[in-house]
Amino acid sequence: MKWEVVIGLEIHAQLATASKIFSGASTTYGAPPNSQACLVDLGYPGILPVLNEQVVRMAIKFGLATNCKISRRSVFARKNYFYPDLPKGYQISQYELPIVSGGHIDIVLNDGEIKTIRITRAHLEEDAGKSLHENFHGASGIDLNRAGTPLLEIVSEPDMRSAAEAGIYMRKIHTLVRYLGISDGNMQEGSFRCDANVSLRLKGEKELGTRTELKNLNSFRFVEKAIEIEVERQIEILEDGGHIVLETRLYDSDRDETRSMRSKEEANDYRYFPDPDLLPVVIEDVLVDEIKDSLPELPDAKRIRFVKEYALSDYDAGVLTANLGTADYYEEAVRSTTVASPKLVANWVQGELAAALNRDGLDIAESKIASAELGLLTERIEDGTLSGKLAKEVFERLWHGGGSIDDIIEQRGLKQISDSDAIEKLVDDVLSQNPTQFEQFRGGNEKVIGFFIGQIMKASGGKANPKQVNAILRKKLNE
Amino acid sequence: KRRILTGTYVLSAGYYDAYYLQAQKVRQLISDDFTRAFADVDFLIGPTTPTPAFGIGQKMDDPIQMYLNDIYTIGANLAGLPALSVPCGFSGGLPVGLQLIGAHLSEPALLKVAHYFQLETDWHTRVPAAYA
Repeated sequence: MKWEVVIGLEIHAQLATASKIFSGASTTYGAPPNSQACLVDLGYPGILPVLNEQVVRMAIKFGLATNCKISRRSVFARKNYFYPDLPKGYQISQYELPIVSGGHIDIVLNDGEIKTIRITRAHLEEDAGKSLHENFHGASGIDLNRAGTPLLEIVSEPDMRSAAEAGIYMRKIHTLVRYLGISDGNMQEGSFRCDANVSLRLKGEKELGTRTELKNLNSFRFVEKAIEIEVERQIEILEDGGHIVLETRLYDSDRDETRSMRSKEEANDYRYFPDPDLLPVVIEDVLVDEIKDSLPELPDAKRIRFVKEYALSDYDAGVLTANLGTADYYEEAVRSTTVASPKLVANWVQGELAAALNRDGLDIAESKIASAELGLLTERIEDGTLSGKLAKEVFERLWHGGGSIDDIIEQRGLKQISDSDAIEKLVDDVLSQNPTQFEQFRGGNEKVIGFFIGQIMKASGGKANPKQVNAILRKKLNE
Repeated sequence: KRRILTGTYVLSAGYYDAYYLQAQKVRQLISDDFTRAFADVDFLIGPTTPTPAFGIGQKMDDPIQMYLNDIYTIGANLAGLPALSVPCGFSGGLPVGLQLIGAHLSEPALLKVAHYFQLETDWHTRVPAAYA
């Protein structure tokens, strides 16, 4: 393709503080409309904002985790525009002097290549309220609960070259803010939002083409689809000899298309100026050092350690460390047993456990089976008590009713048959009961071995140790 | 309305540097000037307004003249200094105000000085002849 796609992402992450960035009102999601907006949030005359210390710490955390420079002096500025969900008529943000800037993170592309995406800046600002246009019979409802919620706006350089890269970067940032504990990254609840800036230029061209800004991208999937559809739209225009208009476009997921929202030429002049009500944020080295020491093990480091410490594949380690809760659960499970191999535990966490959580719509923190229990279950497989198949049955019983693993094995008689004499007898029985198939084997049909195994397992109620069955069967067949 | 439009204008794209930024620099110079003065003295005194009260509607056609009436009180506000005004006499039958400006956080002393002034004088108890 002769066109190069250039993408930059702006991510707004709501910071998980108990109260708002400039007032003491609660930030809890889902409260009745306009029940969590105090006078400061409502912009009443005479109010003054007071900075929430936690947000500064969270921003520094993010800056340190992304190799940014932490600005020892940053300034809040007013971004002025009129909209019904913006009580003061301005949004307190940061303009010329953001709290962190000049960082980067590495992403792993689908082909395994590692690419560095630069982060221009991340700054603190307050969220506006929410406008609801349905259900109000021609009017719009304004809920100001969200007004004043702290946001960290993370701006990337236009370093991404495809929708896929943008998706990977976005997921990386999403994982990172949750690892750091600074945001719950809940896209459905609006605590993690993303806008994409997309432009094209001829391959080899140094100058950037005119960009469009895509908004209303509510999921990872939509971000990628919206970018792809926008690239197609731009290619069509450019190949026809047209020009791209600098504008904001909304993504419509139902129609899978983007629609112009407003032209950037009509855009507001925000008239930024330093907010006279707020002091510059002065950060001492002591604070930065304190936060640096408190950083958790980051996703990349954890993934690399998992590969080394647990002999996992890069892929498995990646899946397990994508979510801090899952990684912790996995490690607890591994540490709870000296018998089960980490690889086996990994298979169960990624397999049965993930499936059960998905099915019931649960987060790992709500797992119905504790990590130590899963550890014990895999131990019982590793020590030969349970076959893999029957372990699944035990898992299901545990999930739905609890109880202890050993009790369930005992009560249901699920113990694996590993006694060679018993297995030999089963094998002999099956072979003698199926002379036709036996003849087929003699005649050179290898596939019929599977049939024998099936019959043996059936005869044993699924409890025969598959490895031993296989070994003993083959021995007898070859006599 | 004029104040709002002027404020919007000086912040708008292309004018911020020439007006708002420049004004903030001048403001810093004014503030520094006061700081230097307070190295030598405890308080500054002067008239609160350039003229006594003028007739209602008399200066409506001249916005600049209107704004200039505030000229002596702008300084303290720009520098963030405590200041107050006390009656100190009459001119042509109209009351005149004496302005006292103190250094940052000197409110207690400032109020004391004003209080002593009012113990020694009675201008603050007098009513203008036209309203007696």
